Amino acid sequence: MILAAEHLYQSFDGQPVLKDLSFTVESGETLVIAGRSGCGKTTLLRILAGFLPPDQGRITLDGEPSPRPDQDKLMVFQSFDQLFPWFTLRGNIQYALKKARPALKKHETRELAIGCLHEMGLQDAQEKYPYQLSGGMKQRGALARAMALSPKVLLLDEPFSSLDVHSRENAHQSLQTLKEATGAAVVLVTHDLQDAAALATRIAVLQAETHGIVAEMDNDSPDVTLRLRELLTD
Amino acid sequence: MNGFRLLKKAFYEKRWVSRLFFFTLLLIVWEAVAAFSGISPLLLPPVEQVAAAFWKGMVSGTLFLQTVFSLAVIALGFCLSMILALVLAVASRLSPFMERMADTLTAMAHPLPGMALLPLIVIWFGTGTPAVTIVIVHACLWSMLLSLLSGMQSTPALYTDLGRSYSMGRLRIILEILLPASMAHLLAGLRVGWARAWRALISAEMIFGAIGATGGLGWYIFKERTMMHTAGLFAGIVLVAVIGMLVEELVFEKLEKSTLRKWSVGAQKEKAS
Repeated sequence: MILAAEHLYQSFDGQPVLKDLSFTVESGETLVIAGRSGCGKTTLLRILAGFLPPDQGRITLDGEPSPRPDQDKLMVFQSFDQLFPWFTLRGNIQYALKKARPALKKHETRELAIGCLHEMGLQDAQEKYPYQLSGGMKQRGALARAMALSPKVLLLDEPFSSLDVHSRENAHQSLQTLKEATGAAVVLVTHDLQDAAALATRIAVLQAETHGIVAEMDNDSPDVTLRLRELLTD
Repeated sequence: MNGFRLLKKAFYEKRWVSRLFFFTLLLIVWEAVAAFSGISPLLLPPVEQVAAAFWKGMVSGTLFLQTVFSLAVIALGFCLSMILALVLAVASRLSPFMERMADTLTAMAHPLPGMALLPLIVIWFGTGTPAVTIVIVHACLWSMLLSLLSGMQSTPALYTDLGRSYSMGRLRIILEILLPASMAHLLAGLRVGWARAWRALISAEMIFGAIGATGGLGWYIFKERTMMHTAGLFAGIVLVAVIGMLVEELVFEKLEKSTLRKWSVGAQKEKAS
C-alpha cells in the first residue's frame, strides 16, 4: 500500500463535502476518481496532497501519516498556467529538482531535466518559455516536472480536460510512459469518461448526494464505460 | 517614397524615434513662438539661448554638479524605499499582525501629501540631505509597497502550493516564487515610485535651498528664477524632463524587456502586431 485515505470528513460552512471516505492506492496503479462537477473531487485531491487539512481522518503514505505537502506526493493542476513563467521549460524542471533535492549539482539537474523532457517528447521545447508552448505541451511539461522528482504518488486534477483530442492522446501516452518509468501510483480525478477509460486501473465514483464513493470497479470489463455513464448521469 | 516608409515604420516601432520627433517638433514650435510672438526673452527665451545656458552650466560644472547631487540623493532615497517596501511586504506575508500594520500604515500615509509633512521634517531633521531623503522615501515607498502587496496577493495559489510541495519554507516561497510572480506589479510600482520621487526631490530642493555648496537641480532652477536667468531656468527644467525620460528608457524599459516581455508580455505584443 502506498497511499491511504482513512475516514476523511470535510465540510465548508457547515455543508458536508466528503463523509467517511476511505480508499487505498497501490504502487503502479492508476485510481481514477470520477464524479460530476462540484462533487468534491478537487477538495479530495487537495486533502491528499496536504494542501487542505481534513476535518477528520488522515492520509498515510507507506503507512506513515502524511498530513503536509511532500515531494513524494505531487499534484498536477488543471490550470494551463502552472509552469513558472519566468523559467524556461527546462528551467522549471531544474528549479523543482534543485529545491526538492538540494544535493544535486547544476549539471545533474540539467541532465535529469533533459532526460525527462526527452521521455515526454518535449526535448525541442526545452528552451521555450511557457507562453511559447501550446496547452497540451504545458500540461505535459507540468507532468514532466512532477515526474522528474520521482514521487511515490502523482495526484492529477483533470489536467487533460481542456485539451483537444490529439493533445490529449499525447498526454495520455506521456503519462503512461512516465508512470512505467517511475512506478508511481496515480490518483486522477475527472468527470471525463474518456480519460477514465483510457488511464484507469481502478475507478471509484464520487457522488455529491452521498458525499462519498458509491461504486468502485476495476477497469477491465467491457461494460465499465456504460456503468460509469449510468452512475454519473443519474 | 521608400525612405518615407522606412521613417514611418521606425516612428511606430521604435519609441525613441517618435520621442525624438516630438521633441524636435516642440523645439521648432518653441523657437517659432519665441521669435514671432513678441513675448519677452525674459519670459520665453529662444531655444539657442537655453542651449547656450545649458552648455555654460555644464562646462562651468555648476549644472553638472547639481545634477550629480540630485541623482545621488534620489538614488539613496529610491533604494531605501525599495528595501523598506520589500521588507514590509515580506513581513506582511509572514505575519498577519504585520499585514494589518502595513495595511494601516499605507492607508494613513499614502494619501498624505509630502508637503504636509515638510514643517515637521524641517523641525526634526533640518534642511539637509536626510530631510530630502525622507521626503523622497515618503513620496515613493507607499506606492511601491501597495504594488508589491497587490502583486503577491494576485499570484495564483498553485504557485505557493508547488513551493510547499518542494519542501520550501515560507520565506523562500515569498522570495523565490511570489516576488518574480509579482514582477508586473513591482515594475509598475517602481515606475510610479520613480516619478513621484523625482517630483518630490525637485520640490524639496526648491524649498530647502542650498545644502552646503550644492542644492541639486531643484535649487538650481529656483536660483536661476530669482536671478531672472530664464534661459538657465529652462535648461534646468528640460534637464529634469530628459533625465526622467532617460531613466524610463535605460532602466525600466530594459528591466521590462529582460523580465516581463521575455516571459510573456512581449509575445502578446508580437501576436497583436
